Amino acid sequence: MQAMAAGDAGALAAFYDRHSPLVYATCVRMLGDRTTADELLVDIFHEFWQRASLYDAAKSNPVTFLLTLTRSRAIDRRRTIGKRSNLKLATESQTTNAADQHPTALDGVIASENAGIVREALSLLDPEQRRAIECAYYDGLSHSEIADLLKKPLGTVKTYIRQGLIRLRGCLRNDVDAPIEDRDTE
Amino acid sequence: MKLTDQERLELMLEYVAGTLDAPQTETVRQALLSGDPAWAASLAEAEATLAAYASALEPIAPPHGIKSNLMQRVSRGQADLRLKENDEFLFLRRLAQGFAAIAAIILVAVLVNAWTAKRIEAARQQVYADMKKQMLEKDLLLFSLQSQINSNTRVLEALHSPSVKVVDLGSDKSKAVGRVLVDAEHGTWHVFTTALAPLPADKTYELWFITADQKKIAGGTFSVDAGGNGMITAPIPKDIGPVAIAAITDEPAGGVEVPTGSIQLVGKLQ
Repeated sequence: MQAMAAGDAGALAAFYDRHSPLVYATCVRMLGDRTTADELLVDIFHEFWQRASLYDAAKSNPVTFLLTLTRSRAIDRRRTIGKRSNLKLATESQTTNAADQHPTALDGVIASENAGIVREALSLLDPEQRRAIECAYYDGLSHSEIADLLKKPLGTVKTYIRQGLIRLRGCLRNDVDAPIEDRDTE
Repeated sequence: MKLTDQERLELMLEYVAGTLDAPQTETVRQALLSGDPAWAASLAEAEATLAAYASALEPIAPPHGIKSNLMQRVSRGQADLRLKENDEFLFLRRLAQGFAAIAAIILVAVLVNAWTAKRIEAARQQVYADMKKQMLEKDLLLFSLQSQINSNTRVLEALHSPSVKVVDLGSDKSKAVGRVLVDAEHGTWHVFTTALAPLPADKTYELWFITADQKKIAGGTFSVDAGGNGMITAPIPKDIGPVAIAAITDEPAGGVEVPTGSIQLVGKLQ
């Protein structure tokens, strides 16, 4: 980050090589359109490059900063192009074409232990609970919109999301067995 | 808002996920703006959790052209930045040059103005000195003319006086002649000369009264013009008794108390 802040384009290229597959996958998942995802990917890394000098290492690590930026910009782009109604719902199973996936040698982060832990944590969730989180994260839907979509009471949706996120956070802390309070369940 | 750490984190997870309703979102935003480190820490943990959630996706390698597009854009941005910095530098340099030029013009103007003012003041002082000198010369001329008028007036008055006595002065060495008007009523002698030789600067003519007992009393000095014409009015000394002879000698400039030069004109009064 310091190198990028100093204007080292080579540092950006290396960072891109390492993290663009995950960012691109997130863009494709959230936008459902490769062309738009291509454009957004460039925009995200360019903005990341421009904001490198403002990055505060004490607040977050670079990947968290990058993925937070990715999600925020993808939601903005969805709203701008008004494609929400045309996007596939996150509740549908994610279908990935093998031809679209070309993991590079730098995909280590994707195959990292974190990814495995997250997947494991998500697998422990009820399918509807997992879909609620996916709707919130990838589609940027609000509680009420998710409730309408899943045809579930609002309180239930809130609980789904809260429990799912707490479990996820617990897993990342090696705290999979942390008790999940069933509050707000209708 | 009093919350446990767990409650705060749960709330923050939903805030970052964007699922809170508007009032709750605003409440959390205000809490973050308060600068409370506990809220900042919860935000960091929630963002890390959500970012980790994204890592569960299967990665997709982006098309190869995208990276080159990105790097070209970055390169253009850097070039634009350099150009902008260069433009700013050029602008600042031109601005500095402009200021320097203006400062130089102002400095030259000040110097020219000071030089011109000095010249004008010098000229004014010169004019003032010339005028003062002319006025002094006029005053002197006026004084001289006034003196002549007074003298001539007294001579005219003497000529009208029946008590005035006229005595001729003569010389056996030259053609010079003189005349003395003795105005006893006003106690004044008016002496006129003609054809006296002009004297050098270190010499002057001096009038003498010589009494019967041979006392020689100085009556004043005078000069003559190129024609040898001269005039002097002198008071008749008192208590010297009758004056027997009037004589004019040439003496050193400034006059003397006892005659040393030769007699140029002389005449007997009695």
